Formats: sequence, C-alpha cells, structure tokens
Amino acid sequence: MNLFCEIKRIVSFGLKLSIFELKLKNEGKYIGFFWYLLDPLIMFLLLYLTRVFFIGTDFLQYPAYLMLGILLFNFFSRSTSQSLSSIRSNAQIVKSIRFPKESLILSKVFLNSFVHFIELFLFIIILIYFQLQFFNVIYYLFIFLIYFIFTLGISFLLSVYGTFINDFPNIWSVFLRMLWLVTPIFYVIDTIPIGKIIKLNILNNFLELARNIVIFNKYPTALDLMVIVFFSLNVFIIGYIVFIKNKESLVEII
Amino acid sequence: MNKENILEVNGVRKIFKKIVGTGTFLSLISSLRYNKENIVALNDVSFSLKKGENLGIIGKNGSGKSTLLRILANIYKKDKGVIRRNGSLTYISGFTYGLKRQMSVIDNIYILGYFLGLTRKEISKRVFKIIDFAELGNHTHTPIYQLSRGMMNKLGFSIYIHCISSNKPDIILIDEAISTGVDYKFQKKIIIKMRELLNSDSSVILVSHNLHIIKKYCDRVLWIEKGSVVKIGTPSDTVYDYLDYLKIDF
Repeated sequence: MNLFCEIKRIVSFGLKLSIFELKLKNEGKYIGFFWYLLDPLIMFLLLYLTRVFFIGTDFLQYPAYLMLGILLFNFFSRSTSQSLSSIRSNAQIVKSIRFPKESLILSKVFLNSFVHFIELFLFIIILIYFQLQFFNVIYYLFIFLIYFIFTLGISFLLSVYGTFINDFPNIWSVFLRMLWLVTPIFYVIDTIPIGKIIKLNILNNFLELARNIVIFNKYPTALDLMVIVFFSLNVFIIGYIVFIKNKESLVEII
Repeated sequence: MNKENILEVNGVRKIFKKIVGTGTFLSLISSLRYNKENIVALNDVSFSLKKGENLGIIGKNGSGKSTLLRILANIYKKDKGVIRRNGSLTYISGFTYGLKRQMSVIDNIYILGYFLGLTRKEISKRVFKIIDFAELGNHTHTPIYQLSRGMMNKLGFSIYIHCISSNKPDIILIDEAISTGVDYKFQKKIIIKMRELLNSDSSVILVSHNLHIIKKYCDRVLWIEKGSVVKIGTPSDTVYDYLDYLKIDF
C-alpha cells in the first residue's frame, strides 16, 4: 500500500510539474502551441520534398511513414536530452527541499508526451489528406505506452550520468545525431545496403511496430510484442535502479 | 530513545570526496588515479533535541552547519552514526529557491506548494493568505521577473511559512533563512511569524549568523567548528565563547 502511495505521489507530482513546464514554455509566445506543429512540419516538408524531387515516392503511405518516424524520434530525442540536465538545472531546489526527485525526470517525459500528442494532429491530417485509414491510430496508444516506458528508463539512466559528468550532454547530442542517421526515419530499411545492421537499432523496432499497425494494418505476433515489452521493462528497471542507487549522491555533487 | 527527546544524533560523520576540476572526463580520470583526498564535513557529531525545544547552531562558514541540517532532512546521506527521530520534519533553506521567474505569482504559489508536499486543495485554501501576507494583492497574475528582489523574497517567505506552519511539523530546521532583504515593515512581520513558529509546540533547529536572534529565541546553542562540536550549552555561554574565539565584541 505504501509503495502504491509513493508511486502515485511521484507520478502525480511529475504530472503537475510537466503541466507547469508546458505552461512555462508557452508563456509570452505569440503563436504558443503552433510552434510544436511547425517544427516537425518543416522537417517533414524538407525530407518529403527532397525525396520526391531526387528519388521519387515509391509507396503511397510514404508521407505518413515519414511523419510518424519524425514524431517518434523527436519524442525520444527531446525527452532524453532534457532529462540529462534535469537534476543540475534544479540544483537549488533539489538541495533545499526533500521531494521525490524521480518526478523531475518523469515531468520531462510527460511534457514531451503532451507535445507528442499535439504533434500527432499533423499525422492524422496527413492520413486524412492522403486518404489513408486512421482507425488504427487507437492501437498506437499501446505502442506509445511501451515506448514511453523505454524512454523513461533511458532518461533515468542519463539523468545520473548527465549529473556526474559535465561532458555527457555534448556526448549525447553527438550520439543523437548519429542515431538519427541510423534510424529509418526518412528511408526504408530494406532499400539500403546496411539494413541488417540498422535492424539492431532498438528505435527501429519501435518505429516498425508503430508503422506496421497504424499505417500498414499489419499486426505483430504475440512473441514480437512480448519481446519488445520485456526489453522495454528491463531498460526501465535498470534505469530506475541506477537512479535510485545514485539519487542521494547526485545531490552532493551539484 | 529518551522519551523527552524528539531527535537524537549520535556520532554522525560525513565525508565529501574532493572534486578536482568541474566534473569533466579529464577530472573523472584524474580522480580515479590520483585523487584520494576527502573533506571531513562532519566528524562524530552528537546531540539531542527535546520536544518543543529551540536549538541554535552557530559556527563559521564551511563549519558543517548546513551539511548537518541536510543530513537531518535526509537530503544528504550520512557516512556513519545514528539518527533517531520521533516525528515529522520540515527543512527551510532560502525562501526564493524554487520560484520560476517567468511564471505568475499565483502559479509560483502552486508550484512551490507542490514541492513542499501540499495538495492542490490545501494550497488553494492558503492562496489568499499567502498573497495577503506578502502584500502582493495587485500582482496576483504578474510574472515574478517583474517584481523587485524584495517582493520576491516576501512571496517566497509567505509561501514557505504558510505551507509549513499549517502542516504543524514536529521538527522545523531553518537554515540561514531569516535575513531575507526586505523592507523594515516586512522584517517586523517576519519576526512575528518566526516568533509564532518558535513559540509553537514544534521543536526548531535554527542555523544563523545572527547571534542576537540565536540568543533571544533559542533554549540551547550548539557551536560547530570544522565539522566537530566545540560546545553545546546555554545561549549566553556558548555565544560568549564563540565570540571570544572569533575575537569579536558583541
């Protein structure tokens, strides 16, 4: 019961913080929430037009394929980058008030989930515009939940190393650039020579799963689902244990 | 644990690893090979706090006062020793910590209230009292970067004091949080509120460089120097010895 209350407290506090952060991000901006749509839209147009002009579209669903790839990668990239510095950027309050520090990391992942769901409007518009089925979007919630757990695990892990090592944000930023290239966001994995290697990239598995269900109406086997759920839960548990073991030491070095 | 006591601290020791550089990879590698230096922040600190007692802690900067309070508040972990506590505890350190400059006065009340462990309902009950006490009635929706430093301090003090005192914690730890750079009228209000707090049933541990306040409101005073307890006794005796050590007239 106590554990349940503690989890409820952490999640509820993380949620409240993320709502305030969302509000803070839009404070004083003229077009507020539209910035969230503009960023992936511009990226989509750049990549889509480049492909159309230089390679040509090889399948009807490519716009939806591209947009979903951009949105899923953005969620992972933003959540992990912001979690990296979440302890250091709240140093004063972390050192002066005792509160569940997990909530700081959770708030970043929640915040980017809100942004992700705002951005999903773009994806739905594309599905409608290109006359693709959009009923399967409902299954996307389940895939996103697994992806959320995976991203949260990585974020917990990074928040520890990002606090211990000042160079870590730079390293992660370089890593994310490389990850962007080796993740099939704008290309199709089977059409490139190093496709087999890229398949080892875990983000590819999430992208493939989401795209297959939402865009191509292909449902995964129970085994595929179990593997990805098991993997994500393990990443989450490892990340959380590392965070719990180090959270008191982190306060002493900021 | 003695029934009269609400807190007992026995042989607490805290060591910080000395950090060379600024936490870069280079300093990490050098710390693995060469840096075995430690800083002893607290060494065998023992004392007790009675129910309803006000204990002052004095000592020079870097003597270990804040580290001790952070250990008592479970923000830092101790390396050695035993701490027994029989009641709830609240730690106050710096009233403007946690305020978000881009946010309005009312939003800051809610966010700091959440950090202090209050629910939305509990904060809502106190909002008008907080604004009224901070004399910010005309600025409820003003972003706090538009307020002066003094107004921010008033807001921070008001939030902390209303959120904490209504919860009636058994032990209150106050770390250098009395002199907050506000006008004379508000200073009087702070003293009245603090007096209420110090005269309440709660036990208070007060860290301050203001020896007048320590002498006036504390029942006993603990003097720490270089992480070790030098003396614990009546306010007048301990403050006198401390000033003698510093070679300062009071």
